[in-house]
Amino acid sequence: MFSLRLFHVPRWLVLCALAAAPALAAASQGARPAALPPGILALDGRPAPPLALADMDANRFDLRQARGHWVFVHFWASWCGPCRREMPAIQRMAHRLDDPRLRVELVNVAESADTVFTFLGVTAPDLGSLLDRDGAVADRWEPRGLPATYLVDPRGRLRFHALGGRPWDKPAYLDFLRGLLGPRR
Amino acid sequence: MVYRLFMVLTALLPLFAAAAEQGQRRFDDGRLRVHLHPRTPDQIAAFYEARGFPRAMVARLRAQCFITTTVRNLTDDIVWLEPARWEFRTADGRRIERLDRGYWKTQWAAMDAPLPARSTFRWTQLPESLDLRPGEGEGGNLILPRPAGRFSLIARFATGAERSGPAITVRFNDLRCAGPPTRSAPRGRK
Repeated sequence: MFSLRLFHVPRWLVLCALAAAPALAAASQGARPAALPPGILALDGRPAPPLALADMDANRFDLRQARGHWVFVHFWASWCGPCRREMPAIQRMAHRLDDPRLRVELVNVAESADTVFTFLGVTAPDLGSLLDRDGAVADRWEPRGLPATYLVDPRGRLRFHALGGRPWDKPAYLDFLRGLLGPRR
Repeated sequence: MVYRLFMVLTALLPLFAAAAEQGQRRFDDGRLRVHLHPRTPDQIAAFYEARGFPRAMVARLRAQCFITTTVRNLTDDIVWLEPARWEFRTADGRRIERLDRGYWKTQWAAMDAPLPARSTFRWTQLPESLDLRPGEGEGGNLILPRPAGRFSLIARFATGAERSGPAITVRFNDLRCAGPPTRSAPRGRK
């Protein structure tokens, strides 16, 4: 059985470490927001499932290579009404934050590149999307429905999940995301 | 006296609510909002054809009774969306077995259906189990073998994280599938 006594750690050092842990965690992940905006669920910080896909131009993205960034992972499909309404708000959010510490990665679920190209050209022309051509990645992530957004922290862990479509360009959501990123250096 | 009147009115509320549901496809009691939208075979075929579904899949789907269903949790607690707890019955009381995700998974595997089509199909179905959070809504299709006449639905919802809260039961009477099953050849790809 694990025992602190085994390592001969002084009790005062353990107490100091426990007291400092939240601050250290916040420093490594950006400041935690005081309150969550509507529809945002805090997750338990388990490692994010694999996400390695190519976009319409065959550029590959691998979540493992995005360590050090917060990643906004958004699953969507063109036939999904809430996705259609949410996509312009995501584009505006990306413009307003304009912060390289946040990566916005859209993942289209099981549609053709033509469909994705046409849809984004109308709804959010500044955004690109990864193509989960057979839906296998979405199956691994098991979103509650479409659309679904996850926020993955700089250590590759699932921190937040957004229920359904959210007005990401509204102040409550922008402030939430800015709170995750912490002050710009 | 006022207290007794309050108790009587409270006891009668479910009756008023039940009466309001006769022949309707919408329910809202302040705790839960449920809408049912039966879809015609042509609507279903058009939707899946437009997403490149093979002809054989579309043919199989257009023969069924599709009901697009939306559910929104209006409470401050968890409400469980679990269609397996819902009962569809014909006018003479016979149970109609819903064609659930497991059924379709077997069908598509036997047909060797393309994986993207299987994925899209799954996403267009109502989840088999979802703990709807306060304010959360979810939508998707329920699929039944097409019954001959009218039918009813009793939808039961557990509440609370441990399903230990007061259950919510919603009854829809006089439901019908939309449109007759058509015999025209589907236009999907081979």
